[in-house]
Amino acid sequence: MTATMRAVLSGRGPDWGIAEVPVPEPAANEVLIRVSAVATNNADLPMLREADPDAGGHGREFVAGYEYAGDVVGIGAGVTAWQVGDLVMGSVPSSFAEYVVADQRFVLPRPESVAPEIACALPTGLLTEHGALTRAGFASGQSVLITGASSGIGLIGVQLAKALGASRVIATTRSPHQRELISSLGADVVLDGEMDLAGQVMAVTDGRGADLCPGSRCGRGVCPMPARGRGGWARGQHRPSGGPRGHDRHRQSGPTATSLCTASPSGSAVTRRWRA
Amino acid sequence: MIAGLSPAVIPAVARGEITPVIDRTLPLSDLGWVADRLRSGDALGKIVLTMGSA
Repeated sequence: MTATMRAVLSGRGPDWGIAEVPVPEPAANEVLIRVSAVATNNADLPMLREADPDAGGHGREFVAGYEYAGDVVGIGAGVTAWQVGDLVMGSVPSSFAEYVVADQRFVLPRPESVAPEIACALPTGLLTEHGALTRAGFASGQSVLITGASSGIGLIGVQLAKALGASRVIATTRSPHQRELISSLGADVVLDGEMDLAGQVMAVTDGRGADLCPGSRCGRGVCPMPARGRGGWARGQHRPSGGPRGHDRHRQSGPTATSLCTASPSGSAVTRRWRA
Repeated sequence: MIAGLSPAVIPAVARGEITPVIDRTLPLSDLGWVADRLRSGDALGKIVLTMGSA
């Protein structure tokens, strides 16, 4: 292994630059990954801007990037989850380089069937959407509302919900030209994000609402469902006449914004964690 | 956090059921183009850079 590597640096100006920097060494519980491909993330541009000394930024140089795919080429003390040669992907600071170190807990296995230049674009979307679904209490067989479905993360959310057994995926987008794409990825219904979403969702669910709206979106304030007591979706309205349905706590309290949106704080925390 | 990723997720990725939308795939040497593309707001999906590490 060479002692230096090519890396993408922020902190030199308005654009990234390529420089030779030392190859990092894995500390305890870390793995050293040879990076085959990296993908841009919503955090990359703000980080570049905040570091730009020409625009009042802090001017400290650092290796940019988060998302990567590659293979394990070294392990630190105490690493039990990975071996040299394992195919991996993930999201970790300073990934825009030929090598990156990551805590063994924050590495995902990369299926052999998925090339690095595809896999590198998955980790943030997978982790964000899976975290949001999990924290919202998703179970196979539920219907899921994915707002902002044409975003990079939303497109993965649609596919993930379907792959994990959602009975129905209801998507929204403000981009009419993306509707076909969203449908092709598995959304059963694609609604117009510019229109009355609450009304539209109720119309396509026979007035019951979706079982879940994964929290990351509610947390970003774009959940279409009105807050408690505002408008026709408040708690207690549209309560199913059949009464509680077993484990389905959302339906027990009414298929409303109020109950669905309670998942948002934890969901948005997941989003922030993996974007920050 | 990662340990909580459902056992069903990675197999679904392996089967091609979950794929990312990628705006463009470029070699690292084309880095200069990337920030402008992101700033333009025109990118549909992620931009991928291949590292070509030896």
